Amino acid sequence: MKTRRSLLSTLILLLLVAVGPVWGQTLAPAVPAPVVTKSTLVIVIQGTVNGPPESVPFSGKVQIKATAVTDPDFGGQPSVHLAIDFLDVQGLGATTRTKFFAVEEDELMRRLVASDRIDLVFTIVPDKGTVELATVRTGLASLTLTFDGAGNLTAGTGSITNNPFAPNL
Amino acid sequence: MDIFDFDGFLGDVMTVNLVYKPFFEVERRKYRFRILNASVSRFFKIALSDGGPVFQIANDGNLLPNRVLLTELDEQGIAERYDIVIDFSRYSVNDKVWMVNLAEHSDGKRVANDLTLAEGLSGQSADPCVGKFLEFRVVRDPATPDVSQVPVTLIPNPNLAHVPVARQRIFEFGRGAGQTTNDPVSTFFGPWGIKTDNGDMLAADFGRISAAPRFGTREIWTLKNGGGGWDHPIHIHFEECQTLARDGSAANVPAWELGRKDVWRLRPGGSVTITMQFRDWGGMFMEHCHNTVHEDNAMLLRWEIDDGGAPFLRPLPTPIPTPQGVTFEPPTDILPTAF
Repeated sequence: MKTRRSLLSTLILLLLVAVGPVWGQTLAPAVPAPVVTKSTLVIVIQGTVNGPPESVPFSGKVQIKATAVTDPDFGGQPSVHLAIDFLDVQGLGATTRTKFFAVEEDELMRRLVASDRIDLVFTIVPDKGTVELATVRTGLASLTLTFDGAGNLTAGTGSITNNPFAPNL
Repeated sequence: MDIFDFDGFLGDVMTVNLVYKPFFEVERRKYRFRILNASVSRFFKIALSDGGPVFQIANDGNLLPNRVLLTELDEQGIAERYDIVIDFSRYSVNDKVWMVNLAEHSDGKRVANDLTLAEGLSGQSADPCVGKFLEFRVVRDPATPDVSQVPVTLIPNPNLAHVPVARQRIFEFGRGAGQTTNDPVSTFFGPWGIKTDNGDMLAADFGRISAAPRFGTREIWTLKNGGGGWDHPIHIHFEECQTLARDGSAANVPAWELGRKDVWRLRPGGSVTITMQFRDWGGMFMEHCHNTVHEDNAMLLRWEIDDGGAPFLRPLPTPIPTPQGVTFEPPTDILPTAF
């Protein structure tokens, strides 16, 4: 029995000596890096927000920065991050001729598809005076964005209408 | 839900303060809400059901330099905190409006699709946590007029321009981590890990010192996402940081991230550059992904400030908790770029 125990102990020790360094320095499989494609587009946008206290026809530009990313590790569908910013989208109130700005800045992660329609609610703020949440009006911007096979944003259109989610505000 | 899915797992019931689809009776006045994402792996993107405007006034632990007018919030990663103001005086008594989640997940790795408001309200999403989750019932006018204001300017950031940058470090967060230590208590195994200063991708060992900035100095750290199939909300303990750039450009930092923060979503394939000054508190701190499944398996590292003068030790010994009390051991590993 003594001999057996001694042999067993020796075997375990040898095993630990052999396994220890391997366990202590686990090698990692390489993970493939994603392909990141960046593009920026500025599109023209126009349209009218109707309703009280007055209708406002807007026109201006919207900047869209698109960052498309592949997923070679999991083989998943590529995604595209969109940073959307209204650039000087403005209009004059049909009755009072007051100048208003359409303000919107948003960031979205979308599945990368050839053509993507994105509707965004934006705020309407006066040129002068304070912005009060209680009275800020909203409108809806509809963007249709086109991507090529590499994930570059190649074209886009935009229009402005009433915010359908807040018909009375 | 598979709790053994190390990529992250999702619940299927959305709760607010532990309540499923609650309602909240509000007066026609302003309310400030502090929103914490307390999920395991889920991100949110919150809007009001009518696209109504809100002011975002704070991000994580700090007021922003300026209020930000928004109709929907940015994605909110696990542990991020957003403070917003909603003014219910724009609604009439008996109106209802809901908070809506627009971030659609198909797994715990990242958001699959940030939906538009129409998509989020359509009921078509396969994600049960998309859509309305908190109902506001506007029940009455306030007893006294609401004279509260949301100032345009809130809290400017500390000006660090006069503090020289002592060091720059890069941390890359990814999968396929290896391990160089085998301490029975402090060593953990991946698959997740962190590369420090372009070294090996390492799984967590809280006995390992990965960075040791000097007391009182300022550093710039870049946090990188090494993959395209996942996102990581990275949390740095101790010091709150200013965001200098996203993907290498200051112009990519949105207005609601201009305050001091302590959690950043890196976005797939993305990076965030931050700066901080290490002030009064010497000690040992952690940096980790706050997708808690990633954190637990083992996307976490230790950094420390240990040269504040006596009685600090350099390097600090590692505390090993036991039922009989805490013992201290020498670090298992010190990365070559740590000090």
